[in-house]
Amino acid sequence: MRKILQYGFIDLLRSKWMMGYGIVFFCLTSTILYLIGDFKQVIISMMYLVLYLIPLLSVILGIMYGYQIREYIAWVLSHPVSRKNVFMGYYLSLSLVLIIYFLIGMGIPFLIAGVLHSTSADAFAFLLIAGIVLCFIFSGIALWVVFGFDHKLLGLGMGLLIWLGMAVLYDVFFLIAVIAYQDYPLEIFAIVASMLNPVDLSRILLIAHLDLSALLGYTGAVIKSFFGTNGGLIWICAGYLIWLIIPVWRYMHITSKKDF
Amino acid sequence: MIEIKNLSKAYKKRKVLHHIDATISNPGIYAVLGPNGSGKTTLMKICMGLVLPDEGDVYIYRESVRASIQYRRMVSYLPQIARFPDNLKVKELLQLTEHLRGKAQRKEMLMELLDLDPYMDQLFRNLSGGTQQKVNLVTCLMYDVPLYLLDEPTAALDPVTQIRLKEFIQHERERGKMVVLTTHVPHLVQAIADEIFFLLYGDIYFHGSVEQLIGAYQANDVEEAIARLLMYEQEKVKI
Repeated sequence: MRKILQYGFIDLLRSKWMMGYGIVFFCLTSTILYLIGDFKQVIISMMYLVLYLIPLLSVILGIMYGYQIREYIAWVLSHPVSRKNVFMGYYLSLSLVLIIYFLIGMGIPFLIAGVLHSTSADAFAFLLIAGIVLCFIFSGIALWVVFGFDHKLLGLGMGLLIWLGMAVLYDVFFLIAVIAYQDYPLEIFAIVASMLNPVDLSRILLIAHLDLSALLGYTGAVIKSFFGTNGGLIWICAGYLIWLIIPVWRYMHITSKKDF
Repeated sequence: MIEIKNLSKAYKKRKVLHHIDATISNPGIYAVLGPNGSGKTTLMKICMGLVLPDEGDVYIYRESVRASIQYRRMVSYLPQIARFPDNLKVKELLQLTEHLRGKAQRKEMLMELLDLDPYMDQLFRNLSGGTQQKVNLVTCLMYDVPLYLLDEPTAALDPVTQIRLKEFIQHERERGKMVVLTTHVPHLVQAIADEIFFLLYGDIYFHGSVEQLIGAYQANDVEEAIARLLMYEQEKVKI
């Protein structure tokens, strides 16, 4: 697995698409930092980029890379290596390269601007953690889709649909449900529903730890009171863990039985 | 040694291989022929554990391809299409191969034979189709193993390289190796094959030497024999 990871990593690090992903983050972060200046507000703006852009780009780039792997995977698997090691190696190389370009693209402008010497250093760390976990989760989802759908366009469409569902439609339905049942106590429903979506989970992690809850009124107060505590953090970690395991488990399961 | 026992494979409803049995135990060059979609590549891929059979099994040097991966140390496989990670250099691809299956015994010799030295520092995606196929050949043939499975080895090669490859394969036979290849080039089969397996309708339709195939269809060469075999079958289907 180590060698697959190593060479997959080199291959991806040189990919122009991946470099573009890093440059996009670098340009957006630098521009927002230059225009706004105040770290707290910049981090709030970056939160939306992390929540929407990382899942979207991880899915698209992951799917593109996955279909590339499919073209030469027969050659790799014809060597005395187990499928499990090969596919885990490719998953890790994809996730790690996405994370590295994210850290370079977003981290360097913040570091140059001196975020570590400001009062927003903790908030910045939470932003990075949310981004890293989303990279891992959506890389797994991308590879699961790639090996679940033989047709490339269908796979890409499915990936975009999953992103749209998690990043946009889920919130719409959530909101409709909250409005429809506003006469009932919805705290537990809101907490559970948020944990079923990794994008919402990340949003909650950031809202609860970026001192944004005050901006969100009653919802913010509920989030802060439940997820802002250590117990809440454990729930968030548990939710993340489930979302880290399910796509990778499905991807590993599909590839263990698939014809190449 | 390859033993194919009661092997069946279907892709959804399309039966590709249907209860096939065969054994290859002696050194030599074995050509697996058949029209497009007859199951040649599927058979090769099953031998390498890339495609999982629906029924039956293949044993390579007495190891089941379903259960083991260690037999692959004794087999070198050439995929039909030369595809590798786009952003790796040729030398890195060869290094990756060596990391996956150990030190190659004749890398330099093959690099020279196939004129690949000038391309060592180039990214794979920048190579021409023919040069990509040469890289494919080197990653396969640089291992001194008893069994080679070559899926369309001459595809995209220039005539000079085809001749060199043909001589190399014949030399391997003389060294006691077993070479199983699929091809659509009849004159290659006529020149080097010891035995032919002709796949049709999911079965081994013909198995015998080149001479037996030519004799059975009263043809002048392998190309004509194959054409007559297929025309005869088409006529039978019409009737």
